[in-house]
Amino acid sequence: MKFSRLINSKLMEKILYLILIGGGIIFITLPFCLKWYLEFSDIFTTPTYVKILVILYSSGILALGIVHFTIKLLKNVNQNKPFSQDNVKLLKYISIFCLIIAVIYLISIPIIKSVFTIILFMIFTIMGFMCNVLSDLFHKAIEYKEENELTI
Amino acid sequence: MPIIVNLDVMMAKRKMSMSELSSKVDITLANLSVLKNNRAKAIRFSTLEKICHVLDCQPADILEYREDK
Repeated sequence: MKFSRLINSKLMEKILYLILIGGGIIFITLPFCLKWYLEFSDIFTTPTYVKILVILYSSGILALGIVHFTIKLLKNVNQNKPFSQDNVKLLKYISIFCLIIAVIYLISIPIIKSVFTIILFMIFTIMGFMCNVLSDLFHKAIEYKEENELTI
Repeated sequence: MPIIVNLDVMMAKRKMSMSELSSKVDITLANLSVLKNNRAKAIRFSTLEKICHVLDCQPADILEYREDK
């Protein structure tokens, strides 16, 4: 029990920051990363470079937004405010971003012809709905906690 | 809120202050004030029993149901 709480506090924040920075670096150097990657992989029929770039940039910025919200969420938890209305809002934002990314990958199924695009679409829809349910769960939890706090 | 708490009336009758009542009933002064100002969402029977015992009264003397239109 104590070990999992250790992972969930300082270490988790650092890991998330690393993901954010790494994602930011990939985001900025995306054109070069993409050229280098496409030279290696000739597995599937490569669509135009610009189309892939557009898909990756749009889903990339949304994914970085999700990481940013997760960091905010973690900060709230580490400051011992897990049941705040702010967390409900953050989870709703995360779910909306996930669903937008899912739509982006749905549109890009005929563009990047690979089974993985379909898989990504499915994963992001499931994640989007799960985060939405989590947001409602937190909302109910806050209600119960407030009622319990005001029980004399 | 439909349930009104009329603690002040009973406290005046028994000439008891807030701090005295809170220490006798064993709840914090803050909780007692939450109760008195109708901000409580629920009260435990055990707490109600202690209040009635200390103030020597019935629950009806303290709790009142008023329908809000």
